[in-house]
Amino acid sequence: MIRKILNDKKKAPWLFIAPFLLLFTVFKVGPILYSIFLSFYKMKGLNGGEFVGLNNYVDLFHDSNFIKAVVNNTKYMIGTMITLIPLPLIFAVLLDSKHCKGKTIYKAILFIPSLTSLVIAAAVFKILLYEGETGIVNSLLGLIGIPAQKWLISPGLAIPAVLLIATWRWTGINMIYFTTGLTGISKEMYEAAAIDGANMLQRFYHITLPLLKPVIIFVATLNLIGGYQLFTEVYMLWNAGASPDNGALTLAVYLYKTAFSYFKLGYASTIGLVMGLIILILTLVQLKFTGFFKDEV
Amino acid sequence: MKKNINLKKISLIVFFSFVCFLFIIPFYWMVVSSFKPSGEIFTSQLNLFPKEPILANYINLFKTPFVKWYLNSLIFAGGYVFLGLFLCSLAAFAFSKYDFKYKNIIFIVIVAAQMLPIHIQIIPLFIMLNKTSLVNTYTGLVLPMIANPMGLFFARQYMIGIEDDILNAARVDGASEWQIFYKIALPISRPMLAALAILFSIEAWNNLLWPLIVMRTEKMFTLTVGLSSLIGQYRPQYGLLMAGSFLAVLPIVLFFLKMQEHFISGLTAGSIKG
Repeated sequence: MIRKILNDKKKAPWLFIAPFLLLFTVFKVGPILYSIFLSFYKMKGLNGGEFVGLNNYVDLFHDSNFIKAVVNNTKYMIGTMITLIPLPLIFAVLLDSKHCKGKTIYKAILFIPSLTSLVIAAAVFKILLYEGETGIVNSLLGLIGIPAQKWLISPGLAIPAVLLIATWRWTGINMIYFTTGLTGISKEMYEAAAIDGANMLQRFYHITLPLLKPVIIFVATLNLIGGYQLFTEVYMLWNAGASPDNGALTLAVYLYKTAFSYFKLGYASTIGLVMGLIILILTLVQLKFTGFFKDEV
Repeated sequence: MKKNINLKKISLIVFFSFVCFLFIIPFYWMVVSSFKPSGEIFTSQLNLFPKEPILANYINLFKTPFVKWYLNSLIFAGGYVFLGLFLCSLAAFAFSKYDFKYKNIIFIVIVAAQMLPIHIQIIPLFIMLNKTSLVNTYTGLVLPMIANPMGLFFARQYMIGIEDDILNAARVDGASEWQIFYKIALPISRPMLAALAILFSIEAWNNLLWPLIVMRTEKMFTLTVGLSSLIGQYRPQYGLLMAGSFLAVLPIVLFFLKMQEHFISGLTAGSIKG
């Protein structure tokens, strides 16, 4: 029977996609629908609950923790846009210069943090960010005359602390994305521009930036999606995500706590769905705003 | 002019040496701290080297189920890579080289679903795994993850480039559709498979949230969950954590240094539009 299908060019593709489609339906589509269903219930443990209509959604928008989490995620996301696009871009452009020696070593060193588990990155930074004057980050700041900061204690520094980890962790991989994009730009174009008297900044602004636009959009999209999924760093830096005054409470941390510490599974599903909706809408808006869909035609 | 170029060269070297110095600090501090007694890690003195290097952290680390965590992470990554690649490339082959009804709609739905974060599925998945007794099992850890839309997408991008003539020639020779996939399409796709394998294994090796939810007993923890449990407890054990972190990072870094090009092409597979 199966042998017969495998010889049939019309039926074989269905058999080929069947395993993927089956698991995709059971573990992706099913849970998403189930999640919508759960969001209308007040669950009692794992078995059954009480139908509460839209109450979970109404509660969510009056929930100061939820609002705080959205604000924190947004702050973090904007922070990554400010650090994780210009910095890797500048590094990539400088590495692309023919005057740059030792590129391979620099690239490897900057890239290796991207291979490090966020659990480990956060664990090390927990030590580096020690609030005493002898903390490594504080010592380095001391060298340029900035006083020691209470990194993991003061609520206002919670997001900057996470951003510091993000910068260490993602600069390398974003730099590689930009480097890959730069190899697509022909050197002759720069030379021609140089002959026409364009200086370095003009060349960067009029050639590099426009041609790298697809890569910039790609990295910005990653920042946006990643920004709203922030979990591991916060979970590690503060004991299971209990940051001071909820200064780094994020949607994913709040969802995790609601579900697995308070066992409010219906409410947690609502958090997950709204989180998904935020990511979906912002991604689409961003892609439309940057003209991504026009390029496709 | 010559002077100018030398100045450029030197300033670039200075600049990147400084940046690289900053980026190495966390690794240096991880290794150094792993040889310090826990009391010396946070002190009022800045010790760039351990006063008296000790191995106690490593010895104590092996008194925890660290080896089991390592093994569990390997099983997770291995299962995810092996089954995920098989599933994705098989489906990708159908989507790239055959015509069938609803093909485009099915494909768009799958890829669009990738935009939704896993957080939406997590609670339903947890309930499902509980009801089927798959919580705290390798099957429960791996199975829900392997139908990866991103993997399907990249595999399809690559397989579209396979020449139809080669496939048709095999058909004329009497090969079945399965043989065409297994004996022709898969071997041709080796670079794509290597890239995806790297991507998948790093993803599995580094993931915290999913194994944190599925694996409930200490013996079943993956490395990430196990390491996080070392500071989650009443008495945080930073020395052990640093020793464990070092041993967890080491194989990936060595592997990377050996296969740098593969790594980079794997991780950038997403940024290049096909």
